Amino acid sequence: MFTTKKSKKKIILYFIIILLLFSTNFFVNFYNITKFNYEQRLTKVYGFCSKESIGYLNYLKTKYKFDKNIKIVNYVHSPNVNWIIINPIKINEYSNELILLNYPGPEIKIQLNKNKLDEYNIDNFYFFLDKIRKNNYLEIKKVKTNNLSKPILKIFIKDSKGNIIKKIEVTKFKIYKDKIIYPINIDFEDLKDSFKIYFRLTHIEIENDSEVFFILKNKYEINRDQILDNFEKCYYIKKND
Amino acid sequence: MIEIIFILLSYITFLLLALIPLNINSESISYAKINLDKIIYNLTINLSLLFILSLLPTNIKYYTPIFIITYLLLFFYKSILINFSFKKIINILLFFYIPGIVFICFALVIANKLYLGWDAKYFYYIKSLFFFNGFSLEDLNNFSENKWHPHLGSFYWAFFWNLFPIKIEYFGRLFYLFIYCISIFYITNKIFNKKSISNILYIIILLALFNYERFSGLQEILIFSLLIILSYFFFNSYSNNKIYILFTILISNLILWIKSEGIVYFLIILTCILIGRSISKKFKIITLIFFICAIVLKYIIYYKYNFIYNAQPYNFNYIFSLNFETVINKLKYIIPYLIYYSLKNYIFFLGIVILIYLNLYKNHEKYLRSFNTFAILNIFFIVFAYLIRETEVLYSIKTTMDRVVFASSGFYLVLLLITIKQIITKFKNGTYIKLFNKYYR
Repeated sequence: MFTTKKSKKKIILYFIIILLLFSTNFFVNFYNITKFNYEQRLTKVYGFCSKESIGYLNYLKTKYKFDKNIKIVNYVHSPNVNWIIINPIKINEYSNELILLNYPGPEIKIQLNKNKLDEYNIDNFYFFLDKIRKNNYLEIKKVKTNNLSKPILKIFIKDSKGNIIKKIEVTKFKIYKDKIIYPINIDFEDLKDSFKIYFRLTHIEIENDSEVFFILKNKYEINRDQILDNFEKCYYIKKND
Repeated sequence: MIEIIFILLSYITFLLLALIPLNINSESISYAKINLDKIIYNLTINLSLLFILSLLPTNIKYYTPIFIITYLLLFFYKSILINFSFKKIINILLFFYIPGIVFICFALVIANKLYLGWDAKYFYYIKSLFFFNGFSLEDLNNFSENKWHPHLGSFYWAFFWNLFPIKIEYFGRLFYLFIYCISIFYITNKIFNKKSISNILYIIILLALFNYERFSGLQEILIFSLLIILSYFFFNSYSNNKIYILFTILISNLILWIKSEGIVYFLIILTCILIGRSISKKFKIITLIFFICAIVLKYIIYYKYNFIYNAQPYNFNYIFSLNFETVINKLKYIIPYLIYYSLKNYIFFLGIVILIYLNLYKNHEKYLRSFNTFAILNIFFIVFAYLIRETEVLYSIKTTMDRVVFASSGFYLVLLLITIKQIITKFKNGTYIKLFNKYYR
């Protein structure tokens, strides 16, 4: 009787151990660790030249053995990526080199979605603030351009509580075949990080298939600088002063 | 394959910290169980020793080999040169094989997933990188984000990262996993006499609680694990109180240096000791002196290294400027979210429910006063932390409350386990069957 009870408990214990192995994906993890080295697994998690692009940063770190820290600009909204290449020996010293991750080209094109109030907005606009210059524009595609009477673009800049802190009316625009372009020359640098930007279009018939883009001029233009390394949309450049 | 071998080796190395310097009697497995307290004492002593090393202006690379060689020699001296027997070694291995299996399973998850939590990328990893590169505590001043949290968790990370020749960061994080596994192993084995039941429950609890995020370099897991140990000391303080208090002081000091909110847990633990019934006045005074010394030490070190003591978004001007309307508005978010996160974290929720039950039906239990004090102050702390925080309340809650609730929930695990034990005992005695027969037949 005693042995049976004891062996029952042992069977339960072994069953739970098996459950543990399967629920923690023991065999998959074991295979991945033996098959792929640390760098490969790191790349698999963070992407090589996508998302946080830790794979590319790790590759640069190994290849170039950076003496000083390098500013990294990632065009994909992600957590801090500096940790992978940071050099604590010279933590506050930066070289005149730059790493651009997921570089979109000379313009950053953001498609806007309409909210319930018929406004178009960007949630994390502050993310782009250090990556853009002035002279941006709003582009409305697939829109009926005939019979337009004073189409006005109203821009509202609101704080985190939704209070309007700035209101701008843009009356100048250019009409092309099926699109309208509004130039936007706002200096966003004066604004706090937590603000939100809203666009309201009046006197324009926006169709269901119309597309509204906020096109931002990229602060970094790689053709002006010396490209030291490049993989797809990731660049390691040296700034020409 | 080399990583797998080092993961196995890391468990043995970490185990060494639990077996040295106090002697573990391992004549039989049941003896080893009796020595569970010593395992925790050893771990606490070693963690405190590492804490002292972390304060020294010395390169980590100088003392890491000395540290590990000394411990290996001590182990061989105690286990092999004096009264050598294979049986003893095998007993130790047999005693630790279940936490070993669990450790390896979870270690493989960590080694495969690898990603670091948000705070880890911003603060903890970079701070550990400082230590890993041979810098001392003072050099952290060069890192602007150092001000947010103390250094100890990052130091442990760097120390164990540097300890193995493979030099991969996650080996430092495996030490967090080890403390987590051992703290739960300790408490389940202490509460359940039968090894088979405690092992089964141990794995179930770890499986239920394991979440990779906790091991992504965040420090809450350390506080959670240390609070588990402390909760048992409080639960059992009437039987062994002098030693338990000594180690409570040491563990509280570690908590103080792990996260900035460690000071709050530190003060809550002090209050629990001072309010507790089973501790003499003399001991309460000694404890109070030790706790004051620990806080003064922290101030002195922060002053010496020119660190900012309170960088968190709390200041008196803001607290005094709070009006009734703002408080109500903030509470509208804090209370529902606290309930939500408590329900999500079933140890916290069940712990509080059990505590209420115990107060209603078993209020003679000696340990209750300490647990009540902890629970009340803990909940007050969570509410006030968000109430007087000078940041957007909803954003703060959504980004941190889950972790705050998790860290403190470790203290309630003991209540859950003693309740499970009582239920099992009642089942064995047939109490429930008798009750069933009485009411339904």
